Amino acid sequence: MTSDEELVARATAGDHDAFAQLVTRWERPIYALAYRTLRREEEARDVVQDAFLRAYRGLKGFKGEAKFSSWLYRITLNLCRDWMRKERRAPVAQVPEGTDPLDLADQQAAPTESVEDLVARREMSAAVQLAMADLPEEQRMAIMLKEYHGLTFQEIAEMLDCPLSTVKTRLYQGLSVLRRRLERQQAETTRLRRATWERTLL
Amino acid sequence: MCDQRERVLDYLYDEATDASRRDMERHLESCPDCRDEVRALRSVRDDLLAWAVPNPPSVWTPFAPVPLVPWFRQVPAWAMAAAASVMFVMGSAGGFAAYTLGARGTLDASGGAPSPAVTQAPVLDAAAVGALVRRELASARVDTDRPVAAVPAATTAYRLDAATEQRLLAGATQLVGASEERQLTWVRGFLVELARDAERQRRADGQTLSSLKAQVDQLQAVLSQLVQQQMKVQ
Repeated sequence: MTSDEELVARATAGDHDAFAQLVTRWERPIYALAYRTLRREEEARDVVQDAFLRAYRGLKGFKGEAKFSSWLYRITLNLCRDWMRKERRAPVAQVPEGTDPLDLADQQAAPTESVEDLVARREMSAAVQLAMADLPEEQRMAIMLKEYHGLTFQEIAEMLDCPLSTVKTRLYQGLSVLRRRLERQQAETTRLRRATWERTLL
Repeated sequence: MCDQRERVLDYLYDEATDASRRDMERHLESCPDCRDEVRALRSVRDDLLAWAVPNPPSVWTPFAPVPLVPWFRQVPAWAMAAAASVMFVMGSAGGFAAYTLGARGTLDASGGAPSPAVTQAPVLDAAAVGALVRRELASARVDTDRPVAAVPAATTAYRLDAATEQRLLAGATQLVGASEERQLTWVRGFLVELARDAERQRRADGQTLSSLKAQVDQLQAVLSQLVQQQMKVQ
């Protein structure tokens, strides 16, 4: 596979296909980052388009000191921050209320998964979204870049402009808070379910 | 837990050096607190994997310089359908005209001219079809009330060249295929939803049953107690 650096060089020289390959290669991770940061599908799509447009325009200025992906992540995070600042509010968690049948069918494609597992996974997905939404932004960012994008501690430190030890502290604190919240949410879900059953029975 | 946070994280995310990892493994063997901590953090990491991201279509379009799809792919479905109807009507009319004229020709000794529609049908290429469709669509827009029967008098029958026909057919097949695919996906989703509801209901029913059974058992116990007390009193 052609390396990102090679594609960047070709795209800078005007090769349109090279840039197309970069988009195809990176749009999924970039969308995932934007979606998990903003938790809004439409806005995340806009951010992805914007990020690639900026990258395209800025290609000549990209000196290759950082990896192309890190540069793209940084652009994306900045755009997300701009959006949140413009909206003057924290992102709202879009917890899936009903279940989207198409989405469900896609996930059902994994043949080994039972309906129970599927429901449990969707509940867990919503629980994680809620718990993450309550974290302070810097902890959330550290977790996101590490967990969902597999960046090294060093890369995260460079991207967020902070010392390595700070990244680790944020990550550790974030994970500890998440752990407590997820445990509490699971207990709460069980309690609610039991209460519903009892109400149904009496 | 001991003051090992950074090292625990390095270990957890496979960023420790070999030596440091071996140290950590040794430490974990002797420190139950750290062992629990690592286990709990791993479990949170597993939970985090559940956060699903929707799968949107590609954002590439705004960057694409020239449309690479052939013109007939860009024609909307309704226009394709309209064009197909127009072609069908024209073809039938041509055929009908040829048939009647031909039949009359055999009856009339003075000799009716054979239909030009049959003998001189021009072979169209893609560009000509495009022009034809556009013309037909334009006239269809101008006068939608025009009776269909009026069309054949002024038209000639056309034949498509093989390549264009092949491409049109492929385009139509693709449209139909995509539509079928969408419907199937929807039905699949619907069935899954249905199965899930049934499963939920089944579980709730089971729960109700067992709870009712428990209540019955309890009542039976109370009853037998009462009976015993009654017997003692007597």
